Amino acid sequence: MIRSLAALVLTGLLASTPALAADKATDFTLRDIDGQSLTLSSLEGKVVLLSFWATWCGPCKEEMPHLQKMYAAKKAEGFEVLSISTDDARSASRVKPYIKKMGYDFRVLLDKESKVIGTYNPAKTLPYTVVIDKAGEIAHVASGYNPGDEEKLAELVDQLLEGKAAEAEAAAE
Amino acid sequence: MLTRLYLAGLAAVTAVSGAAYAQDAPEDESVSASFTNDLEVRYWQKDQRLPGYPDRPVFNYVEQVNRFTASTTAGAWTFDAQVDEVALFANRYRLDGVLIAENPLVGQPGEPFPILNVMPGDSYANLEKVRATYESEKLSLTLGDAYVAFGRGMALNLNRNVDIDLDTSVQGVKGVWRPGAWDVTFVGGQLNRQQVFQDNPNLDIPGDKRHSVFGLRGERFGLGPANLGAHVVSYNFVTQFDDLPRGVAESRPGLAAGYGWEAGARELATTPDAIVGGATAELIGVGGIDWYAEGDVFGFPAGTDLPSPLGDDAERDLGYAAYVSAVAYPGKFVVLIEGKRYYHAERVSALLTPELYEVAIAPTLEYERAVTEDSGAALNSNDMTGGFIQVDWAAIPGTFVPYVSTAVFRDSDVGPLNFSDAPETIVHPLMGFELLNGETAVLFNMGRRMDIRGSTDEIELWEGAPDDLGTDIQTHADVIIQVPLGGPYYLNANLAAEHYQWGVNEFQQEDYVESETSVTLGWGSRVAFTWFTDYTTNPLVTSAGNLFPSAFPEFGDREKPLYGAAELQVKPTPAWTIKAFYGGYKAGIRCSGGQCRQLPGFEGARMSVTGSF
Repeated sequence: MIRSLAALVLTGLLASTPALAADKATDFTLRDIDGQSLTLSSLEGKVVLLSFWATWCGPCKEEMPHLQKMYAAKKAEGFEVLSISTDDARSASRVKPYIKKMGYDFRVLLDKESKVIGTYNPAKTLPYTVVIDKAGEIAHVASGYNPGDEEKLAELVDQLLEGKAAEAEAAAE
Repeated sequence: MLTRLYLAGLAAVTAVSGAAYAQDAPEDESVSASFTNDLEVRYWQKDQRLPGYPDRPVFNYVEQVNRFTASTTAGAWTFDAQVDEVALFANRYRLDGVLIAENPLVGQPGEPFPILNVMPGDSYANLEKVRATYESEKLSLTLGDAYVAFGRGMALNLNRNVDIDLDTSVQGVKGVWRPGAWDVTFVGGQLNRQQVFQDNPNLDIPGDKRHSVFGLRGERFGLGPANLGAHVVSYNFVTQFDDLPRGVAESRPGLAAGYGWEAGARELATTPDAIVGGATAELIGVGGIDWYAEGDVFGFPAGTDLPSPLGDDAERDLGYAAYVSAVAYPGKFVVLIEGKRYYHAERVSALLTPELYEVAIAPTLEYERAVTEDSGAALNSNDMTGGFIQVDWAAIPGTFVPYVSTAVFRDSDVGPLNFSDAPETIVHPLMGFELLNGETAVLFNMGRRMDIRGSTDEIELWEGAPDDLGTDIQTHADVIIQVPLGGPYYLNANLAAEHYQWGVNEFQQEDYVESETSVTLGWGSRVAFTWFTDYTTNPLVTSAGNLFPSAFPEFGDREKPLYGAAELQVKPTPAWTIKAFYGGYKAGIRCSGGQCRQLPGFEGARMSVTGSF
């Protein structure tokens, strides 16, 4: 019995192949909180951070000020934050007030139909972060938020903005 | 033997998927693939014994759940698949020479599972979701499983609710055509509810009842400040169970019970059970205010096929739903006002209660974290008028934002979900603040919810009932605190407590106190240790406390109130999380996304490995 369980756990662990940085980011089109349409591929040439969150998610709210700070510091260098609300359709009226009251100015998209999160984050953790390099390839994924994560993320984004993929991969680890 | 074969199979699947991944992207940069795997092993420890066998905990068992997803992108196409698998171990024992299996995994015999059910005995696997998606700036086309919501979700809202472990999609075709400023959405297919739960025990997996849905919505954006939309949705629920040709019902019991594609397809020849039509209007920044309004009308042409929660007198009534919101941003303030009227519209989900999900969900206007067994009825009310106002003040913009809010409802539905026999006026004031300063965060909220019983003059009450049924009063508070402890260390505490005082009801429930706390000590993003404590004196909670049971002699034979558990979380890489948990937590209702679900308590151990690769 114990051996069977150990084998199962081992099977899961064996699957922990390190993330390769060659995955093309799946394209999508979503409306933002003002009804404007945005297609991910239109941002090719920029470093893009996708941050999946919800108005009911405490750790997401803790992470957002750090994303705002990073966005304000690096947007002139070609850095974009796409904050993707996973609140369902019922709560759509509450997303923009939250963003406004906190004073965030990164772009906020509504994924009311679980369309994008279903592709990028089939697991259930929020917040969930995906960093996409200038070539449109996924450079980094991370689930959850803990204090200090933002420093590694900033280091990774800096490397990607400078086009240093190998250093970026090291920063992500 | 079966166990070994099973493990070998699982390992082989994982190995093959890993090999496939290693061979892809370098060959052709336009093709890429990614995978996630979420493996959880749970040891369910139950304080039950067979009569005469006090030393043999035969009801304890092991449950292993795995979710594997694969996503491949080739140019404009993406192919996604999700395979869910669950297996039970150590759930069998011999009693007087007879092999007995506890906790049956599969509820329906026969062929309720449409695609894949290859596992033997106490194990089950299903290709739960599969889809191919074409994505361009002008067109999104999905063949297979898709999620869809129209407007604010009152006419149609099918999505993935990870908070309460529910996931229902439409398996068929969905297209979104975006010619310029238009979005035109078509969806058609059969409903596909997730069969395997990741966070809850898997028992009696029922298979899918393949209800059908067809919907069309057009929305015009950018008409000046206005976005205007209209939609129509048709539902055919599986309601014919017993009219199969003689012999078929006996040989194919799954089909006879209304499961599977064929049973769903047969319904398409019948009159639709519900047709919903609605319109939406959104005005952005008009007079400095963002406006939204939606109205939907619900028709039930098949009459009694769809039971009416409001009783037989309402069988032919049209239902309707209306929702409005307005948001203003004066100076450092944000003011949100919402209103809704909902009548006879919950009927569209009346047949789905045993399947735990709803197809159309209205905005609740409620603080759902504080919803209880009693107030859950208001979320699903068939006759409700309500309003909500919240005022936020950005005292220190981006850092300190206090707020106050109040929700007021008139709930005239006295259906079976309600503890009260009289219509209610519900008043729910709240206040709180969000403090986000560097790595310190405090999110605080407290409120008082009152269900004030109305007149009982025309209502037949139970014998001995007083004229005044009083008021249910719930006082609640919750807070999330995160503080750095120096270096890479931090503390995160999540505390919630409530006191509930019942008015008068037929079963005269007892007042109670509940609390849920978790305290986490973390070391950077790599390691976190969490201690959980639950406490409840609510007799409606069916689980048993596992901590210091002898310290509560006043509870007598009742379940003890204190629960404790610990969890260690390790993240070897940012994309991978390993968790080990031991202890217990209480059962109770949890509401999220406009839906409520009774979740069972837990005592035992669990280990999970989740990651992307």
